[in-house]
Amino acid sequence: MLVPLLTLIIFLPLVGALALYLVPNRNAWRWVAVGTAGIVLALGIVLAALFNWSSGAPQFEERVDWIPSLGASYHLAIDGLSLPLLLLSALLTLLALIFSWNQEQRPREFFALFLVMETGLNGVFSTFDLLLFYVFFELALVPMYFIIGVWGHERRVEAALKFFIYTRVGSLAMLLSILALYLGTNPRTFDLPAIIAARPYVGTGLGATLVLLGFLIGFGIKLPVVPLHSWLPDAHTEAPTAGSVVLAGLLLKLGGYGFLRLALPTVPDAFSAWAWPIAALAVFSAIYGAVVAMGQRDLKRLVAFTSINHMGYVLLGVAVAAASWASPADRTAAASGASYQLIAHGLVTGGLFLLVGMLSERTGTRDIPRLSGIWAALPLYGSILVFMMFASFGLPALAHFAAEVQIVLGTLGIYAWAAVGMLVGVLVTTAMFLWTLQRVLLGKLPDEWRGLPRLNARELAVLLPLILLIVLLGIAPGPLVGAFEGALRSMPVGPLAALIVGR
Amino acid sequence: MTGTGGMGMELWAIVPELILAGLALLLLPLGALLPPTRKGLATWAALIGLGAAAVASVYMLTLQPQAIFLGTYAVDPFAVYFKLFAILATGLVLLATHSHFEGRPHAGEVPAILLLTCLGIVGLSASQDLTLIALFIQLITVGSYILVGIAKGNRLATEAALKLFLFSASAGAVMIYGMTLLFGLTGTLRLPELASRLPTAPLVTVLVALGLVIAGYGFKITLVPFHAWAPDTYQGAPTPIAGYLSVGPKAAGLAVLLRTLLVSFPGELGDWPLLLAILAAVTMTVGNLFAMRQASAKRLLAYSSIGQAGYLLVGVAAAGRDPLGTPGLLFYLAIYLFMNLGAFLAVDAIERQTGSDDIRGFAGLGRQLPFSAALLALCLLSLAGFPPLGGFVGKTMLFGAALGAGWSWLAVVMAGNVALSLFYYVRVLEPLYLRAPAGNINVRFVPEPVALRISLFVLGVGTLVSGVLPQVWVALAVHASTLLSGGTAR
Repeated sequence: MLVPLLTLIIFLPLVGALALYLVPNRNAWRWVAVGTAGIVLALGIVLAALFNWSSGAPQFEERVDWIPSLGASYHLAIDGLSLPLLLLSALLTLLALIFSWNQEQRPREFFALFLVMETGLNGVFSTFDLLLFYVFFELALVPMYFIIGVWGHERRVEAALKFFIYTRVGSLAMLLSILALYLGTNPRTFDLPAIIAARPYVGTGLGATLVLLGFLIGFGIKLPVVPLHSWLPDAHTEAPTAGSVVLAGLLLKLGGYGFLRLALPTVPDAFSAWAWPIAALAVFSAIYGAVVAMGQRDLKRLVAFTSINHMGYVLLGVAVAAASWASPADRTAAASGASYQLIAHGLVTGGLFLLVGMLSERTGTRDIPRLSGIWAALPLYGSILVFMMFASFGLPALAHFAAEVQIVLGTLGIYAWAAVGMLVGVLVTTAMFLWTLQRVLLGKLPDEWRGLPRLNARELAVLLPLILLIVLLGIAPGPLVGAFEGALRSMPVGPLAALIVGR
Repeated sequence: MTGTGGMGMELWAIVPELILAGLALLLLPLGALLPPTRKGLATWAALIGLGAAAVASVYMLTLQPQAIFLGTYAVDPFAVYFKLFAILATGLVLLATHSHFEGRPHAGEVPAILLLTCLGIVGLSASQDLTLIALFIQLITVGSYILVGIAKGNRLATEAALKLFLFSASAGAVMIYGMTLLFGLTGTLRLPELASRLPTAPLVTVLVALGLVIAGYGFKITLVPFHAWAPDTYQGAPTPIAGYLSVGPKAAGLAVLLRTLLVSFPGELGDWPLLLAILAAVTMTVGNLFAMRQASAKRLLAYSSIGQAGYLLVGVAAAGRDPLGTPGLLFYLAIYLFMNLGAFLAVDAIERQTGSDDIRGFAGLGRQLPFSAALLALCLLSLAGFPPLGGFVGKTMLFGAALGAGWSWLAVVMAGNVALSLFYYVRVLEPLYLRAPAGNINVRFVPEPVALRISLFVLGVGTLVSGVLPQVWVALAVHASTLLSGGTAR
């Protein structure tokens, strides 16, 4: 590899963040921020173009010693599972920054924190070394504390603290599991392929169960899954719009990605043994999220709870993929569906938070009872909101449908009850969104909402890529599914590899 | 292996100590005689001396490990590591005391006393003989006592010094009683010789003696329950001195504890690893719980440093059980020097502007004092263990040591403590960045003095670089610990 593309994609945002402090001109900051994120996305597209999609194996490998005394290396690579998430990260960060173009309050720090966070996220999705994974994982967490705490709404300080503590507890639990894997491998190493090859925690002994527990707490908080979810509604409600987009669109993905990349291949037997309780928890979480969303008055909080619902399906897919007695086809479908759901949710929920932000910027409220007849005031906005909400409850030919169908099909043969539960969840979500649409968009338009400013070109430019991708992923799921399945099947680091090939 | 190389060789092996002692004795009278406007000269002279001692110490890294002065004093990489540690800590504190004591009484003597305390730390971490250990512990105590109480006019400082004195006197007496017991049991005061005779002594008496000796060391380490002096003393002491006490003497206490246990209590005699593991868990939990409700930044940092002592003790406990134990301790100590001293000196810089270390008064300082506030935030995030800062790598090594030693419970307790500690570190971060300034926002703050800025900058860079590129330091820590037993065992 002539150019270390992955290194560039990871650290360019950090360079951009530093560059912000070298540019004295206030008006130039947004150009620096958006320009940096734009170049990163362009590099990501170059990467995708050069990527061999038919091979599932890790590509663009870079490897340098980092802390050889501890067996940690700067080991980067991407495969069919991580590349789509990397692209999602580059895209959503760019859109969030464009959305914040007119950021008034302390724009320099605001942009810099988003760029630092992008470094963390891009790093998580492209590293194969567990210590480095943890470093990037936390690097993506700290900026969000400040984004919520400084630029958030009224109760921002409490929400930021809650977010910080919760995710910190999760990270530490994950760190202990990572260290257990490290210590169990001889010679001690943080290299993920080496750990998977050594299989230090085969069987369902106490050690393996504890490692699984650490991962469940760590990624379960990030995902989040009930009962570890209570930080999420507050964080989302209080975060500024761009923060919510990245929080829902990307930070939650760390949980799902962690399950697929770390937990499944390293403790396969323990995961398999606990598959059904985890599936039950996932289904409960999904239905809970949908039902509680229905009870919300705050539109943003409502969208936040649908995230819990959607992430429940991800965990269900992961649990089915872990069930070792199931057929490889079912398990691949479930894991691929879970991965697909991560991408779909990033696009759709990112879009929903943008839309809610645009509405509350205009009306100054997110209180559903006060909003009505918005479609009449903002026809184009209303149509896009309808589109996003339909996409969110899984309308066929849109992104979530392709994901959820795979999960249901994978689940049906293994846990029929879970598939039924999942369909109940989808049903509740559908009803909830239709009801919300009816309350917000239809009805009589109060006088105070007359003459709201229409969507401007910048806002449309932010929404358009999301809409196009949601449609594209809905009608042509083949390539992405192919990439996921390729990664899932390939040795030695695919999540299912240790199960499928090792048997 | 006593008396190898002759007396000339032995003097050659204590060049750093000779420089420190000579300079301290020279500066003690001269510093007082300097004209008031020239008191700063004493600081620069001390810094030059420390530089020379550092060069001599680095050279000693290559020396063959050996015991000198009839086997009472160790020359091994472990001791050299602590020499460098003490020199670095003293130098960075000198850069802060330079402006802190400017124009106050006894400004000229502070550098000399700091050098004496530094000599105590250097000597304690190399001592292989119980008499020498007691002597150097006293030297550190006397130095600390003077430094804490040097602001005679300040009631809080006087109280702090008195507390330190009373506690250290009783802890010292208890320790010497323990040492007497050890001597009575074995007829020797030398650590290596204790090793061969203690296993045959009655276990109960050995355990009692060990407990008494640990009480003396534990006073310096702020090991719970011998920690009670620390918050009051740190709060009353001049802030750079409080930072120094939380770093230097603590490190020396840990060094002598590790050396005593590894050398004199071989084969986990009396189950000391488990005892230390329990003490570590208790110390970190007590420190972190009490830090929760502090309103004074210095008290908060005092309890925080008790919590950190708990993490460090994990390294001592696991030293003989897992290859990560001693390197983890040594690495974390170095990072602890950067981040904890950095936090204290940043609070000092803030306190000089606002006149108080009440954290409610920190509101909005992130914008008004950007440099000190950012440094404080960086150090606190590192103390809380966030990557890519040094505190993270150190904590990871200690977590690994606990798990590798077979104490999953200790790793979980430690993880819980690290999570808990975030609560109170956030209580400092929150006013700095999340709150708007209270009161008069037009107060103009003067920039920090240059020497203090340099010190803070070095500490911040150390905290960051040791986390991003830790390999050199990790390798040094491994080098310094692998040779400890090799250098002291026969």
